[in-house]
Amino acid sequence: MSLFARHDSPVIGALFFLLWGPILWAGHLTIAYGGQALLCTLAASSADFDAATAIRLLIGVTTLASGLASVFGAVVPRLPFRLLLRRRPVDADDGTLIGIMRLLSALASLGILFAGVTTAVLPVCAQGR
Amino acid sequence: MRTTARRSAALPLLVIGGCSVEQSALHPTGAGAEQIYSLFWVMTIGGGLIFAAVLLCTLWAIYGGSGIRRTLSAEGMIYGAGVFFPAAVLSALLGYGLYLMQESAFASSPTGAPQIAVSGEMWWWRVQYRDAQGRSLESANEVHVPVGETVNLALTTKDVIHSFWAPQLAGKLDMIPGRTNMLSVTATKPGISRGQCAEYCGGAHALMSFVVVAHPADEYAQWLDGEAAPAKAPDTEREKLGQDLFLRSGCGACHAVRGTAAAGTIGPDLTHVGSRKSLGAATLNNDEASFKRWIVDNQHIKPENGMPPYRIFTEAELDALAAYLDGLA
Repeated sequence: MSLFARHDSPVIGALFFLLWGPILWAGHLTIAYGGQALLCTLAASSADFDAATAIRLLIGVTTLASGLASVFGAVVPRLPFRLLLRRRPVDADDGTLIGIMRLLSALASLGILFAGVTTAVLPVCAQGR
Repeated sequence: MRTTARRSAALPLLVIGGCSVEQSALHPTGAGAEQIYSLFWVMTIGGGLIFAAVLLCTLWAIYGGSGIRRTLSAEGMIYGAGVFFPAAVLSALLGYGLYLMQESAFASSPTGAPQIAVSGEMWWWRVQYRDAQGRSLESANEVHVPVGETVNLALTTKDVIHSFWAPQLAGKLDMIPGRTNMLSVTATKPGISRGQCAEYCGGAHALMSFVVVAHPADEYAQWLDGEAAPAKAPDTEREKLGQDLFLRSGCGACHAVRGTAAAGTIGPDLTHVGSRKSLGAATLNNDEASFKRWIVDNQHIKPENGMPPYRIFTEAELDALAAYLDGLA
């Protein structure tokens, strides 16, 4: 029996569990890049709008939230496992699933941190290259 | 088969062509280019060492004994070399990259520094200098900078997206319609190098080059004084005839020659064209023969450029016109 196809748990839930970290990372990138582009466009059309503060706030909160959620997945994987697969891990297949999920979540946490730090360090709305 | 062999033989020539010093990022003469050069070697040597280590592990895994294979496949090795090591290397590179970007690409332009406005136009460069005294003058296809002094380049475009890249001086920066992008450059050594439009901008994109001249500070001031002066009056009868032809034939509708009635702004300012290092945006050598070729045959030299070919002149008139332009030093 494969890792996903078990009669007692939803396949889509297993997929979401496995990609817990990468999904959070993708969400973080979307909000960071999209939000920054949007806020910079607003700043270009309004002299009163403080884009730097708004962007740092948006990306700071998003980085913290998605980073913590990703680290949480890597440290306590059993909770999202129960939430998404609606059962407890029981055998070696589940152990493998959890191992891969933890690894991906740890790497995604690093990616989220990299993108967040970059925004904090470099000037926002800098010229296009 | 023969074609393939010819192409294979030509490949080393292309590689050797890349070794030219005058447009090489591997011979930096500017502060920004020096940082990029360091980053290049850190990345190349670091990447090379890691690649060699991975190859070595692969060979060990294939040809080594079971003991080596057990070591390589141990969980600690996989997590250590496969996760923690790349994470540490990438984190270090990110930190280094952010440091370099703050120091160069995103460094704020110093106020009061000399400003040079460079506009990309299909397919040449309009260069306007403004010095500390507020004096403003225009030239083309050459960027002159003083050594040891930071200069702010205000980069714009008149038409499509171009990219200003002087590899020996600094990194590249796009010229985007409707925007002014600032690039601060500091030449560290005197000398002449070459730059190139680095964003495809139409048919003659590859022929949109320019020359960078880094002068010692006192020499730069002298050059600027000379460039601000009006055009030199013709010395000889031939040059006088050339000037007369230039003014009568409508050249002044597109080109300016300060100190004469020619005040066009569509094409490059020709006030001191004879003193430039090249013609046609670093396409031809700057001599009388090249002027003649350019006037008659510029659409073959740089197809679709904004200047029509002028075949209305006799050979003697063409000689006189070329002599006049070449004499505008």
